[in-house]
Amino acid sequence: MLKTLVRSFIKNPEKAGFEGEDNDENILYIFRRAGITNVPWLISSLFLFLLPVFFNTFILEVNSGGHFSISAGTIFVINLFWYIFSSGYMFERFLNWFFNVYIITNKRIVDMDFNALLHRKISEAPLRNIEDITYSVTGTIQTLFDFGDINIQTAAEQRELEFEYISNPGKVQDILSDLVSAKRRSYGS
Amino acid sequence: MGPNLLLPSDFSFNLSLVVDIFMIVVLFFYNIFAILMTRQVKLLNRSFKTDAAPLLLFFAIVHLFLSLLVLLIAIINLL
Repeated sequence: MLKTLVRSFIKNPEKAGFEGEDNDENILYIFRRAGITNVPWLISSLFLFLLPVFFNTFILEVNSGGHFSISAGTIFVINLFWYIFSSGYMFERFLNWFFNVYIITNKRIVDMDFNALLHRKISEAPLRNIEDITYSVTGTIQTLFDFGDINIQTAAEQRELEFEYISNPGKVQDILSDLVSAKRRSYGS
Repeated sequence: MGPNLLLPSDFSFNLSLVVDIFMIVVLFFYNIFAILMTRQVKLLNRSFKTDAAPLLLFFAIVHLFLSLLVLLIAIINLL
């Protein structure tokens, strides 16, 4: 289970499935955004958890001034809320990373986008309809940590799928190309 | 601390009541967010099935429960 929770590249995942999966369909790969893309919100979360230290110091100054006062119970509630809020923020950011997945099966590719708490989008394209696969690595950070975007052109109703911030995009492009070629050969034979 | 030239020396104001009411309102809306998050985790687990699904739902429910608890504490603190 730990591998499922933290990995951004899973080959032949066990105990994984998705809505609409066919009986004869096997999940070959699951990709997520590179783990390094989580660093910004992890740093933000650390800042959020440390903020009450400064807030409580400020409140002590306000209370010692003599003109305004806030009771200890109120300060306690504020601190409790702040930690609950920070935990909720961290959990929501983790869910955003965990459920934004790109699934490759023996039949199709599925792109699950979960961008906000109330927004979900699921796109898919059969492997045989994939026409072009291009990847790009842009900028210092992406080059340093080897992650980038993969654009997939299809002949399906969904004309283009984009896999964002994928680790080792060259290898993923190669995997997809091989799968598409194998699928076309099986249809051609 | 030097003399405050803006306020009378005998001025005092209990901010607690204002802050308590404000926190209850904020916590009420935050609980709505927690309910939505729990519901969303259930829907997402249905869309994408993994062996981590029970753990994620557990965290969402615990988060909701703690949010409700903090709201209750805020109401008790006001009373």
